[in-house]
Amino acid sequence: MADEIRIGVFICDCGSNIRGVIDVPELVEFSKTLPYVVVSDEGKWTCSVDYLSRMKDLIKEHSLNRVVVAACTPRTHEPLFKRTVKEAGLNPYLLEFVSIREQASWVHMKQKEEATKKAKDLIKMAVSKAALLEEGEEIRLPVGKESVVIGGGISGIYSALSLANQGFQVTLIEREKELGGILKRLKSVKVDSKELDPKEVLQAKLNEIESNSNIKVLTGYEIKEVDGYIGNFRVKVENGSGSEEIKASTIVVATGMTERKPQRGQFLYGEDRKVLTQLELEQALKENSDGFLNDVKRVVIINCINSRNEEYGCCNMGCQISLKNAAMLKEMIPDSEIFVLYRDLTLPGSEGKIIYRLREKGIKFIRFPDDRYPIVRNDNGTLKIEVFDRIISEALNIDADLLVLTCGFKGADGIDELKGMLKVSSNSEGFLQEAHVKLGPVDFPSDGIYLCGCSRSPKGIKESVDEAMAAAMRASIPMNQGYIEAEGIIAKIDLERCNSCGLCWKRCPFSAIKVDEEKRPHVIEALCKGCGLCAADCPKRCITIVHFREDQIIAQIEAALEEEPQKKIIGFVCHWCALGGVDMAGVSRLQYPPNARLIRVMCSARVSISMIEKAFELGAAGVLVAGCEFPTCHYISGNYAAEKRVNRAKKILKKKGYDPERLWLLWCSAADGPKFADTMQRMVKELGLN
Amino acid sequence: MAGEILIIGGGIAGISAALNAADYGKKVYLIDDTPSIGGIMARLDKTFPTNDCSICIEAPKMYEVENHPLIEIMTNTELKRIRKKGKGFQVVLQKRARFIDEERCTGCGKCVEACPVLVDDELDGKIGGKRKLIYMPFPQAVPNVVVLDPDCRYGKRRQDGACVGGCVVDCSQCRECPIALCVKACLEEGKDAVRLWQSNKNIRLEVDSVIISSGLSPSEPPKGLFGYGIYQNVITNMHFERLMNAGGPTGGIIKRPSDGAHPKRVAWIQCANRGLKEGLLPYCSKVCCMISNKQTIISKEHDPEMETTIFNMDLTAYGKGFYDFYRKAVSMGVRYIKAKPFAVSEIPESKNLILSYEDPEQGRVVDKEVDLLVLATGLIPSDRNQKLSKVLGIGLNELGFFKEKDSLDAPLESEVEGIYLCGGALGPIDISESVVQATAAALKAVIYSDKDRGSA
Amino acid sequence: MDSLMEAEEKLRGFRETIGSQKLYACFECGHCSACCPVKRIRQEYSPRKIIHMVLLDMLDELISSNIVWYCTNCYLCQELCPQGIRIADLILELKNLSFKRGLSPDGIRRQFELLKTQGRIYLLDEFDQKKRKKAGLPQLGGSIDDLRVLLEG
Repeated sequence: MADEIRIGVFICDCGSNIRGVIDVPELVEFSKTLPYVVVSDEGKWTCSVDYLSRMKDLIKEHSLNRVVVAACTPRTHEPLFKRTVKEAGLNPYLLEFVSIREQASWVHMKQKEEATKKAKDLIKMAVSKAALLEEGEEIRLPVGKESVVIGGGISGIYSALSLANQGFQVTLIEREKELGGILKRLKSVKVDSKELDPKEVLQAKLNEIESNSNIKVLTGYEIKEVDGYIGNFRVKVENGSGSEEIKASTIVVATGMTERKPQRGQFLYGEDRKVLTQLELEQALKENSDGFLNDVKRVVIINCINSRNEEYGCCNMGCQISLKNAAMLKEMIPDSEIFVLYRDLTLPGSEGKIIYRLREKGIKFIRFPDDRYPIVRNDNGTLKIEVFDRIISEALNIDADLLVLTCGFKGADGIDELKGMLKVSSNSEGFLQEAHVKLGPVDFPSDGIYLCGCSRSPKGIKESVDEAMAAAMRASIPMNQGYIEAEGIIAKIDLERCNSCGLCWKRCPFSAIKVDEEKRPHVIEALCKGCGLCAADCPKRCITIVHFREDQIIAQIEAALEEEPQKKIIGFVCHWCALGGVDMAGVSRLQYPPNARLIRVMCSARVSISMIEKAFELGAAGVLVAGCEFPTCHYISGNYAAEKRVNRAKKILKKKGYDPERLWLLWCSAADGPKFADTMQRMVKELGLN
Repeated sequence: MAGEILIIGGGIAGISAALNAADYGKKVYLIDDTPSIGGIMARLDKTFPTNDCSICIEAPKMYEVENHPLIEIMTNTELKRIRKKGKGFQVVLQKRARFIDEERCTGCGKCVEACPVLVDDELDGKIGGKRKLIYMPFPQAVPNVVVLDPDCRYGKRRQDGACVGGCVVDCSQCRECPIALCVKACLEEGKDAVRLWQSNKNIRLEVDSVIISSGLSPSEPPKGLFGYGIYQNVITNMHFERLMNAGGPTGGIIKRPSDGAHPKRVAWIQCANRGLKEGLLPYCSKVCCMISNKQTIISKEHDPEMETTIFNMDLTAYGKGFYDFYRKAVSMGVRYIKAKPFAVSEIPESKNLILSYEDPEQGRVVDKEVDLLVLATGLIPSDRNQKLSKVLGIGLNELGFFKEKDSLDAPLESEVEGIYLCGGALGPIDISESVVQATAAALKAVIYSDKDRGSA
Repeated sequence: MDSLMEAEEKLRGFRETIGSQKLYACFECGHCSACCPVKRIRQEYSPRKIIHMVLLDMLDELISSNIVWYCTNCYLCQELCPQGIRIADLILELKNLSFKRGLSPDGIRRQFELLKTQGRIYLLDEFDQKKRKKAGLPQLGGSIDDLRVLLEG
C-alpha cells in the first residue's frame, strides 16, 4: 500500500428502486467525506453500457486505485463490475461491492431515513475495507496429459478408452490377473432388455484397448502409495516381482464392488451345498452348466438378504439380477418350479414387464414382510423353506433343491486402505463419497481425482458406462486446458508465526494444504477455494484470506459500529445461501427492521471468534452468523465448522461478561427470504431494539 | 479452439453439459424454449436424499453459465430446422419474441407492479398461484429479464382487463405505446425496455455437434382419478412441492386449495396413474417414491404434528442414500401402508376426503379421512418430443422418449451421428443421473467436434 | 388325485384361459379388494388373495373352498383394476372349474338342478301362485323345454 490510496464510490439509483427510497444525492455527498475517497458519482443504471463506460473514464481520469460500487447484489452483478474495472486497467480484486437495494431500499421502504442511514453505513464499511484491499490474481497450476485409472472393470475400461481416444496417456491398473471385473464372473448380462454374453461384451472392449497405443495396462498390480495433487500425482504400484512409480496429472477411481456374502449359517449358507449367492450361481453355471443343475426341480430365490436394513441400503441391482437368473434357470430346466421370495420388486421404466413374462412362464412370486424373513431348514437332506406370504397371510412351506440368495454389495476389498492413500472418504458400506451426490456425482472434493461406476454405488452396466464417460470428461477438462485456475480468493500462510500444529491441513475440506518434511504447511494455491476455515481456526492467526482478511473485516465492523452501536446488529452472511436468502427477502420486498449491518464472507466458516468478540467489544447489540443450510454448504463442511465455532464463542463471550444470547446462528437457504426477514424481526424484538 | 456445440434444453442436464463443454474450451449455444434456463429443478423445493434446497444448488450453476465467456444463452428459442453440413450441422433457431429488450431490462420489476391483471400461473395455477401478464419467470431467472405474455400482446386478454390489444393500429406499425401501463412504468424508470413490436427472430448457426437435453414433464392424472379435478383438495406431487417452496404461491406454507387451511392429515398415493389401462402410464417413473418420501420429511420438519401417510405398492429406493432417506421418514413418524385406496369421496362441508383401502395387516376395508390428498403421478415425455423428433429426424421409443442407439456400443448417441441425448429426454431420471449423462454426452459432443480425433 | 403331469396339463389349459385375463400383470395393489362390496361384509374374502393364489397354482385349495362363490359378479374390481385384469371373469372361470369338479356348494348345485328341471333357479311354490291370483295375474307354468335341450347339450 505504498501508493496513495484513491477510492472512487459509484452509487446506483437503479431507476427508482434505490432512489425512490434512499436519498442518493446525500449518499454521494456523504461518500466524499470518507477517508481516501477522491470521487463519488451517481448513476441511474450503473450496470448499463453507457454508465460502465463513464465509470471507466472516471477511473482513469482520477487515477483511482480502489473502487466501491453501491447497487444491487454482488451475487449477480459483481462479475460484471470486476470485468469493467479490469478493462479500466485496475486489478479486479480492488473492487468492493455493497448491496443497498436488496439490503436497504427494498426492505425498508417505509423508513426512508433509516434506509438512507443504513446505506451510508454500508458505504462507509465498504470504503474502509477498500482502503485495505490488495491485488489478487487467478492462480494457475499446470496439468499434464497423463492419467491413471485404478480398476479394470467395465467402468475403468470405458474411462480409459474415453481418455485415450482424446490422446491422453492412460495407465490402467488392475489387481487381478485379467481385466474385466465382475463381468468375468457373470453368466449373462442384461442391457436394454437384451441378454448379452459378458465374454463377448468384454472381448470387444479388450480388443479396443489392445489396439490403442495410448493405454498401458498393468494387471496383477496393487496400489501401494499415492502422493501429490492434480498435475502432480505419483502412484506407486507393486506386483509379485517388482514395483513401478507412475506419474499422472489425474486419477480416475473405478474400483467396483464386491458381493456381500451372508454369514455362515445364515439361511444355511456355507453349511449346505445347495445354498448359493447369485454370483456363485452364475459362476457355477459358467463352469459346469450341465452337471450342476441335474436333479434340480425346485429353486427358491430369496431377495434382499442383509439389505434394506439399518446397516445397508437397497442394492439397486438385486431385483434385476434375481429375475434375470430366475428366467435363465427356467429356460435351462423348463419343467422346474421356481419361486422368487421378495420384499419389494423395483424395476424402473418398462422393465416391470419382465415380471409379467416370468409369471406367464410359471415363475411364482411371494412377498414376505420386511421384518419376517423366510426360515430355512435342512430336513433329512431336503431344504425346507418357510415363508410368510403377506397376501394370503399364512406361512407357506416349500421344499427346494437349490436356494439362491440375493445379497447386496459393498465397496471393493481393501477400499479402506486405498481411500486413505487417496485421502478420500467412503460411507459405512464402503462406497466412496463423491463431492456432491446430486451435482458433483463423479468428482471428489479434491481436484484431479474422480470416481465412477460401482465404486460409488451399486449399479448396472449401462449406468456404469455413463459414469465412466462422465468421469473421463471431468478429468479431460483440466488436462485439455493444460492448467487449473483458482480464483484469487485464497489462503496465505505466514510461516514466521506458524507453530506447525497441523489444524489447517487436517481440516481443509479440499486437501489444499500440504505439509513439508518439517511439518510446515503450504497452500497449494490452485486447489484452495477460499472458504477461510483454516484462517478462522488457526490458533496462531497466521493464515489470511485474500480479499477477506481479518483486518479488512475488522475495519468493516469498526466502520459499522462507529455511531450508535447499541442499535446495531452485525451480521456475517455467506455469499452463497445466506446472502441468497437476504437477496430473496429483498426481491420479495419483505419488510423488516433496519438494524442489521451485513458483512459478506464467502463461507460462514470464515467468521473467527475474534471477529465476533470485536463486534461485542465495540458495543454491538447483537451478532448474527448466517450460512448455508445443512448439507448444502458450498465448501462442503464450512457450516459445520461455523456452528462449532459459534458454540465455542458463546462460552468465551460469557467468560468475558457479554450475554451469549446476543450471538445468533442462522442457516438459511437461498430461496428462503421469509426466514431471513423473520430472523431479523425476532432478533430486533428479543434484543429489545424496537 | 474451434468447434461449436448446440445444446437444446436449459435444465440441469443442459446446464451441466454446457459448463463441461465450455470449460473444455468449446463455444456453446444453450437454448431453451422457456423464458429462463433452470428447468424443473429450479421450481422444486428440496432435492432428495440430501434435502438440499433445489434452487440454492442450481442458481450458482445458472450464474456460472450466464457469466461464462464461451456460453451464449438463448431463451424463448426453439430449433426450427437442422441439416447436415459436412460432419457438422446447419441449424435454424427461432427466438420467439419476449417483447422486452433483454439488453435494457434490469429486472427491477416496476412493470410488473404496474400491470393491472392477474392470471393463473402455468405451474401453480391449481394451487392458487397467480402472475401478472408481464412477469419474471421466477425470482432467480437467468436471464433476469421479464417476459410479456403473448396472449396479452396479441389482444387476447382484453376481457381480463389488459391494456393492450384491439388498437386500430397493430403494435408492429405503431412502435410506441401510449396505453400500455408496463411501457409507461418502464419509461418512467428511464429504461424503455418494453418492445411491443418485437417480432420472432430466426437465427442461423453452424455447429459441430448437438446435445438434446430437453427434459420431461410431471404428468397430470386423468380427471376423476382419485377425485382429481373434481375435489379441490386432491393435488399432485408437483403442486405439493410448490406449496412447500418458499418461493411458491403460498410462501412455503402448506395450505390446502379449498380453504387455505393448513392440513393436519395428508396422504400420498404412489403409482397414482400407473397401469396398463388406457390413459394410465405403463411404466415405473422410479423417482416418485423418493419425491413423496422427501415431501413427508419436509412437512414433518415444518409441523411435527402433521399426520402423514403414504399408500404405496413397492418401494423404489435405488440410489445412493435413498433407503436411509426412507428410514428417516419412518423414524419421523411417516406411515407407509402397502395398499392402494380404491375410492376417494369428499365430505361436502369440510371438503375433507375419505379414502377407502384394504388394510393389508387387518385384512378389512378401512375408511380414512384426510385433509389433503397428494397423488404421486409419474413422469412423462415432454410435449416437445414429438416436434423435436420430427425436426431432428430422430425416433422416439414406444413410451415417447428419445432412444439411444445402443447402451453399450453407442451410449447416449442418437441415430444421427453428432447428435447426443441425455437426461429426462431419455426417460424418468433423477438429478444425479441427469448430471452424469449430461457430462458424458458433453464428452462425446466435444470429441465429435474435434473432428480429427477418435470417438469417446 | 391327479398326477403331477395331469395337474400340469390342466394347469396349462387353465393358464391359457387366465392368460387372456392378463393375470400375470397383477402388481398386487389391492384396488380390487378395497372396492369389493362383499369384502366389506366378509373380511376374509379378498380378490387380491384369489389372484395371488391362482398365480401360485393353489387352484385346488381355491376351488374346493367356498371362497370363489362369494363373488356377486358386480364387476367393480374388473372396472377399477389399473392393469385391466379381468378379475371378475377369472373368478367366473374358477366357479366353472369348481362346478365341473363337483366341488361347488350345495346351494349352487340345487340351483342348477332347478334350472335343468324347471327352467328357473328359484322354486315356484303355492305361496307365489296365491299371490299372483290375488293380484289378478295369470298362474305361471312349469318348465321350459327349450332350455332343457340347451342344458343337456
